[in-house]
Amino acid sequence: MNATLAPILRPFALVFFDDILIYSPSYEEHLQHLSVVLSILKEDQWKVKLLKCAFSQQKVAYLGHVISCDGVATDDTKIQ
Amino acid sequence: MIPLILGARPVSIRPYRVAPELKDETECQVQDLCARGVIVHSDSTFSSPVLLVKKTDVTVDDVGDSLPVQTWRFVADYRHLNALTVKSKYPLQVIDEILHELSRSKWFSKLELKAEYHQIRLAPGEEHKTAFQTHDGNYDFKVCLD
Repeated sequence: MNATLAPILRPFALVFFDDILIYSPSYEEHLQHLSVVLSILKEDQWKVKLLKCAFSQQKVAYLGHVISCDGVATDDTKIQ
Repeated sequence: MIPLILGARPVSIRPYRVAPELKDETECQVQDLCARGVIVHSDSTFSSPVLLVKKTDVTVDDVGDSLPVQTWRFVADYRHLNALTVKSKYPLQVIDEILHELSRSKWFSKLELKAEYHQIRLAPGEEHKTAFQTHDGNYDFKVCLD
């Protein structure tokens, strides 16, 4: 997975095992980044689980954290 | 690849006992894995035991409410195989370090791969090391396991 996405890791994508995060400073760039990632996945025939995906959000839960433009916070649903 | 340490002998562990009511479940899961090409019948000298672990899934009913359902996760116990495997050193990132990269970003998407490891083919010739045994036969995995 890291090998597949190597060219775009760090500039706008992160991979942690089976979780891919795509992040961009503007909406226009984000659409472009998304299409790059999706076309790489398609080319290498990776399948994603639609139910577990979230597209173009300003706030997203990832690896037990909630990530938004304000920064990173702990995911409240993981704390009891 | 599953490189074994020098002088390693094939792992051969007697299957665990399975409750009679779980035999059907085991057969069902094995058939499904076969049908999807994840496992094949085996004549390997290796044999790791398998077991079923309880897990809670969520389904959606007719009215659109989510309901928890009890299902079984089919797992192979590779502790013995792991003990004989030469470990690879791939840098695992620390989550905090990963998240540090995100400053200045405003838009996010996340994608999750479908049953990730089942999408990775094992190096041909290595399959026999993954052999496992159930009450009704021997099988090898053809893909990486989770």
